[in-house]
Amino acid sequence: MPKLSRWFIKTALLYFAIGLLMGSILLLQPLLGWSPKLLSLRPVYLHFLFIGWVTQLIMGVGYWMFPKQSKDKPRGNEWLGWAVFILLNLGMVLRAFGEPLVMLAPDAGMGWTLAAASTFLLLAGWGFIINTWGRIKER
Amino acid sequence: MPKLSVWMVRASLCHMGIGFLLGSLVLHHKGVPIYLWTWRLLPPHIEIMIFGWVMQFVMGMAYWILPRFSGAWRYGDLRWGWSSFITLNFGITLGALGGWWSDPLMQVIGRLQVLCAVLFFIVSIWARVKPLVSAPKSTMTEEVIL
Repeated sequence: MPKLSRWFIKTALLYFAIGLLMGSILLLQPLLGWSPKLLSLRPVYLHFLFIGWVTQLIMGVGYWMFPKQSKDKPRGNEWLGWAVFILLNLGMVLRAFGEPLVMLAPDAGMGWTLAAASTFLLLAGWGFIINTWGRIKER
Repeated sequence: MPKLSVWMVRASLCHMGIGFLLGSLVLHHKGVPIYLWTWRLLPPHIEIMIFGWVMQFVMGMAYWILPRFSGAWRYGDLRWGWSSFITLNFGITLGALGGWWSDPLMQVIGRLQVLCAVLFFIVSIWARVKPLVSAPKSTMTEEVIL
């Protein structure tokens, strides 16, 4: 398994665990009377599971197992693959802090974190598509 | 990778590209507002990411990875598979547009099309969920009976 796939998959597993922890906190919040501010974690929880876990797992396994692109570049552009990994996780971490902050303190001037996160995530998603497209082919 | 898988996985990547774009606009709007209508992108974003990206990707991979038959019908009866692919993408498009226009009827029709696509998929893939058969030459019918 290539190094990049290992990084994708192990990071995805961390999102899986943290995402489920957030889900548990969201379920416990009304039962134990914890602060309603915790509800600001809901969008982060959903994206940790859907993007951080599922999509990132697909990216890792896909980078490893899809048909080879060519003899010279069997897995496409490796540099772009690493850029996707970094941008995706930078975007996810930024939104994990920024989204609750913006919801709880709209006037704190932290909106830029979400604008930056959205750009990073978009570039990561499109980068993955560009790097993967040529490998989706008949033998 | 069979042609149907190529089409399904590439279509799922297209959905992913659009889904990421819509999600990115919504997220940006949360932090730095763009237009009031940006919030209306949320239902199509969800529809496209769940059904267009992940679900369709898994279906495409299943056609490729699951055990095959030998002979001409190695991937089973692909007419069901192609019907599933076409119906699924019509359904997702209709569902996403219905979400954008807040049209419940359109959303319901889209979702029913997705349901039909899933049923077609189940019919097409059911017999391939089987133990690996070592016999080198057998037709699909023989293997299904076995």
